[in-house]
Amino acid sequence: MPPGVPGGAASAAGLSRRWAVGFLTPAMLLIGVFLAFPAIWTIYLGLTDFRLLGPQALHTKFVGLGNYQQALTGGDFLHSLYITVVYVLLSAVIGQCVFGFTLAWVFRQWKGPLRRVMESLIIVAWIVPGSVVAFLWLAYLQGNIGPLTETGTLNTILGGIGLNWWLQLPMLSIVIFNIWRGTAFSMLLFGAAIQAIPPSYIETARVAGASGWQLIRDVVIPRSRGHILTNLLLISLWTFNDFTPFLLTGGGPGNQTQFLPVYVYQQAFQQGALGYGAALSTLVLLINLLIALAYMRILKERR
Amino acid sequence: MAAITISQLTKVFANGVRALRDVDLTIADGEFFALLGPSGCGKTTLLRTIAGLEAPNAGRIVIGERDVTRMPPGPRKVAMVFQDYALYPHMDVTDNIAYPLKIQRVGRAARRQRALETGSHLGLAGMMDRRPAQLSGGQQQRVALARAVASHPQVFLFDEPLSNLDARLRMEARTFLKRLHADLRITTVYVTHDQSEALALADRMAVMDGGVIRQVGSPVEVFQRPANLFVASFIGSTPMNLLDARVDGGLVRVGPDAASIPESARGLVQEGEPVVLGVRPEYAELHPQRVAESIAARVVITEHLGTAFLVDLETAAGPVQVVVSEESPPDTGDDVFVLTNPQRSLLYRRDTGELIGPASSLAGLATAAAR
Ligand SMILES: Nc1ncnc2c1ncn2[C@@H]1O[C@H](COP(=O)(O)OP(=O)(O)OP(=O)(O)O)[C@@H](O)[C@H]1O
Ligand SMILES: [Mg+2]
Repeated sequence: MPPGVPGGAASAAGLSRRWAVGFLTPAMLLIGVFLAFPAIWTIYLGLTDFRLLGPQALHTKFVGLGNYQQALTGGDFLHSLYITVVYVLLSAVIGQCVFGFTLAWVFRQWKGPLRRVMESLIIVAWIVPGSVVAFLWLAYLQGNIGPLTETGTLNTILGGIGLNWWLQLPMLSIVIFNIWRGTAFSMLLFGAAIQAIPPSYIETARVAGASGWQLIRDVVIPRSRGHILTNLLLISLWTFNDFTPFLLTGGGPGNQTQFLPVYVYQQAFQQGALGYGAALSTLVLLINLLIALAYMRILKERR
Repeated sequence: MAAITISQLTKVFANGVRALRDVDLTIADGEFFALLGPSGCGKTTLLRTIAGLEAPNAGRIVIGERDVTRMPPGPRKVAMVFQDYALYPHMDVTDNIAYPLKIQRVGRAARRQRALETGSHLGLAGMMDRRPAQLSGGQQQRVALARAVASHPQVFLFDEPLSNLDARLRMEARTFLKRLHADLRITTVYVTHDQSEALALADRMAVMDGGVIRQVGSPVEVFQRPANLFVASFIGSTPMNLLDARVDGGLVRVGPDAASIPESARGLVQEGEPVVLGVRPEYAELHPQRVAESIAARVVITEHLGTAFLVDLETAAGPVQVVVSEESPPDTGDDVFVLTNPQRSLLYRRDTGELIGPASSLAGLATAAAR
């Protein structure tokens, strides 16, 4: 025990337990008020038939696991879950990850201003607020939104094929949108990973005669495993919980782009079924937890 | 196995550094060839250009019968060992050694077999399934060697492979490399800036400076008859004494004193010509009295070298170092006389810095003829 700290156990920093608790309390209170309490409240609400309006708003009944039963047996939730998983796989796991890696690998050999311009453009797509890029893409793909975009900029460029992207190919459009928007993050992360590989590793493989693909398979990917998994975890969760699609399609046409966050929002706030929405939120939370645990599990495995 | 012929090779980096200037070099089939030179002289660049990791701006490289100048590294059939060994931390020793074979599409069983054979030959038998992180520096170095050996290359390219080892391991690895080369007789280009390594290992060596090859020859030739002042000052564990002098009859005048003219330069110099007298510290003697033609000096300091003493002297022509045997170290402040050995001392032209006389000593000629 360091001298001068009267009473009680002291940490390595020389703080007594009382002081430590004192320092931690404000943070703990904030976490409690803004994180733990709402989470618990959501779980509780999910067990009731609480509504925004109507008789249930006043006389809320406890319905046990009724909401969960409704979610898991009715088709809507499972449909949303399914298209969300497809959306995550196509746009994040395959799209952003593969595309971001490719860009990082290609840019590795580029030098000078061209590379900086390209990288800046890609990063801009990532840092501009979602509502802004959503508007840009609406104008790009669909008309009737500005004076110059009667039929949508892309259709004009393509020479009036008259495709209504958001109506006819909603999923594809959103997947492409999300790849465009999110690739920068993967590119930056993989760029850092590739930078960290000693040049002699790559040169040894080249002297042995390895092709570009063999080089990536045998040296770059094994050396970037941690980066790849961390990246997959982050972009999967971000995409899974992404609300921007709602700004683009409102979940439609029909329910074709009714991803989980959109579905929760529509149920809870547009339909006013807050109890059901809370149950859905709890399910989303659990799924997020499962994804995170799965990745951490793989990450820990030593190869 | 193959000879390497390099002609007119020039490499200019994007930042304007001329790392190689018109390099001409022929390395014989099966030869152990060392590249020696001060830091930044272009040794690594030359090696990497032979490997195909750098593209030359001009010139040709022929390995065996093939012009490989524009070829990518793989088909050149060379194996390179880097200073940091570049072992893959995610592969065990077997997979590391077998990696080039995997690229050559050798089947899994066959390549594991060959990795094991090569590994055992290099004393790695007990550690074939360890990761590089679980090996000592010396063992890692042998894995890197085994990887190069197992790929059956035409040429080995080594870039300071021993510089990460401690002095003792380095001596062991040196012997080891020498034996390996005697067994395999694969053409080897070996970059080092440790001259004792080059002297010990190489059949022939080149001394580089500023992207230019300043001398090529056997270690004995280069050590005994450095072709110019740069090589003379670079080679040798203690640097050669280089004294400004002037030809005067059968002598060279060094300040107020004189020394006998080196035998190999006799008849090749003109009266009064400005020259530089080169005397290795090992090839001069100290005498308490003036004997014949000798240079007066005063002892500044003596250093113990283990089996001899290195004596620092001050003469009218500048500082001089002489190695004397253990029995007779002079005291600091003594007045002594330096006697040079005309069979061993050398004479350089002061304007060009080139050696006067035949490029190789008789000993050098004898070994060259025997080969
Ligand atoms: N990729 C590069 N780009 C620009 N200049 C380079 C590059 N690589 C080397 N150089 C320069 O070329 C010159 C020769 O470098 P090189 O690495 O061949 O020297 P070296 O003889 O191997 O030196 P050392 O003994 O220190 O390893 C140096 O001046 C170096 O700064
Ligand atoms: Mg080097």
